[in-house]
Amino acid sequence: MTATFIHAFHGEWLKRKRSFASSFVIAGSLFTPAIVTVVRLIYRQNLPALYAAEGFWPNLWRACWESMAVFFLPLGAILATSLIAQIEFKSNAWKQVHTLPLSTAVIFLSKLAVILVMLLQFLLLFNAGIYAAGMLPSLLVPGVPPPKGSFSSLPLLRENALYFVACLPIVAAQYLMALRSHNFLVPIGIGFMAWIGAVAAVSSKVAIWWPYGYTIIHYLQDKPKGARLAAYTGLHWLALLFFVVITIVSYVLFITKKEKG
Amino acid sequence: MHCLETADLSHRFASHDVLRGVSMQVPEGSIYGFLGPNGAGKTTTLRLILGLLKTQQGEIRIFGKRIDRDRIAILRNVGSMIESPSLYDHLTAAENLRLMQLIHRCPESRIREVLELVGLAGTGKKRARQFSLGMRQRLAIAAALLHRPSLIILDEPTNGLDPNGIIEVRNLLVELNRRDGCTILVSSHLLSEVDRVATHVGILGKGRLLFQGTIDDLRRHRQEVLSVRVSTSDNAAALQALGEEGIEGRLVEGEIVLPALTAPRVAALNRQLTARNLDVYELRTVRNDLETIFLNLVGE
Repeated sequence: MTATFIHAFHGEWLKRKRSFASSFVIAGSLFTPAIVTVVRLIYRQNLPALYAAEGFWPNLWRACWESMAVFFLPLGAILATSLIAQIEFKSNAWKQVHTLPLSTAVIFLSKLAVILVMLLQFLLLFNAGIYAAGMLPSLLVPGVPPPKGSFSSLPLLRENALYFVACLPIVAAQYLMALRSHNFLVPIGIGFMAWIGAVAAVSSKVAIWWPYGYTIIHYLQDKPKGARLAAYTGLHWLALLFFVVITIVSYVLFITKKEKG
Repeated sequence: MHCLETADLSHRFASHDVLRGVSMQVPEGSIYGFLGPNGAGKTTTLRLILGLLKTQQGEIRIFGKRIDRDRIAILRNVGSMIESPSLYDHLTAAENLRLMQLIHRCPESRIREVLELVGLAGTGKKRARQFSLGMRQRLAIAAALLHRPSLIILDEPTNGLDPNGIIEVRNLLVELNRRDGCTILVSSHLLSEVDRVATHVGILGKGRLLFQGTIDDLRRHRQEVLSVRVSTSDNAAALQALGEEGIEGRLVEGEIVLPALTAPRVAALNRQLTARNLDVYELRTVRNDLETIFLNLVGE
């Protein structure tokens, strides 16, 4: 079973090669750090003071995460999940997948695993981008000292893990929709609307029940606006619960489909 | 020994019966031509056989095992192509096959072998989206052959191919059958596409299996006389004379068409016409060709 899963995963990983989803992972994850770098290089006169300041890395981290948490991460999850799951519809290949000697569980989980690994890849590249955005100006602009403090990996790892968990319900919901819809615009459209709803409702008390806004809520947790989210405690447990429940529903719908491919 | 058997297979979509009690037997090592007009239920049958549709009624056995119970074990030895080719357009031919090779766990060298077999070894970095329809069809066939399956199921594999492509696919099927001894189930809506390669034939019409047997069984039908055609110096007079003898004929495109007659009756008819001073220019019996038999069976 494990060997079969590994081979199925490998196969699914190959399918994402040259796909828009894989390009988006790279472009989306490096976009904000690239913009930050370019802006800092343009306004280079401010750099010496900025780099000598205490809390350089935490400030850069928050600056980069703002657009990531609100925009790129949820939308990246919506797009990547929908597009990866839609590869079979687009290639008219579900019938081929279902005639391979694979159990339905392996088919379902290997594809989901690829999406989750892509999400990790997204976060990993983003972190590498933040580090590059911090280091590059000091290397390129004369007179700018190396950043003060260290790019501490442990709290960073924890934060990444929490953002990853906050994103899981979006992945599960998009996966469910993308496995059922022949038209890739349906899951992407619904996902996009759900995200807009989350942005609009993020300050309200009910936001906690709308998983498309969890990455935003996580970002806002230590801001005054975020403090209004009284229900914040347990957000990540709720995210995990949503993920598990939606994934189970998705799997049940997948195995009970009358026509496969 | 049958490689594939269905027993009383019936299927219904909404209120429409697509298959009605289909019991087919595909002998091991045969090339089984599965024929029928469009909409006869061929693809539905093949989808049921491969487990893509849930069986509503009846039983399907492949290699003696039931598909609903031993799906994975059966599919390890089955290669298939259903309807249009399933290809990942953003990948090359070799990459498309690599996906399959990983699952079937066959040697990587097989990718090159099957690409050579179907004439796509030189496609290199060209992506599948740049392939012609014929190339796509051949790549899908290569994918079905990759793991050297004992049973190959191909649904209309020559669809969209030019005459050369059709001959190539036909030759490929014969070669595979002879060399590897694999059983091939190939569906088509044209008898002429499979009559030269098939050893066995099943003809499906309106969801029923109308004929099943060897290609020779089907050819034997050919010997049956379908009609007698006569051309004389005065067809109108000849038609009247024949009517008086109790033979009902009709004029079609300048000749008299009569129902099937025995050989002595044909000879007597000739004598009667000449006795009435009618010159008989042509007197011939028309026999069924395979296509006519096929069309008669499927009721078109």
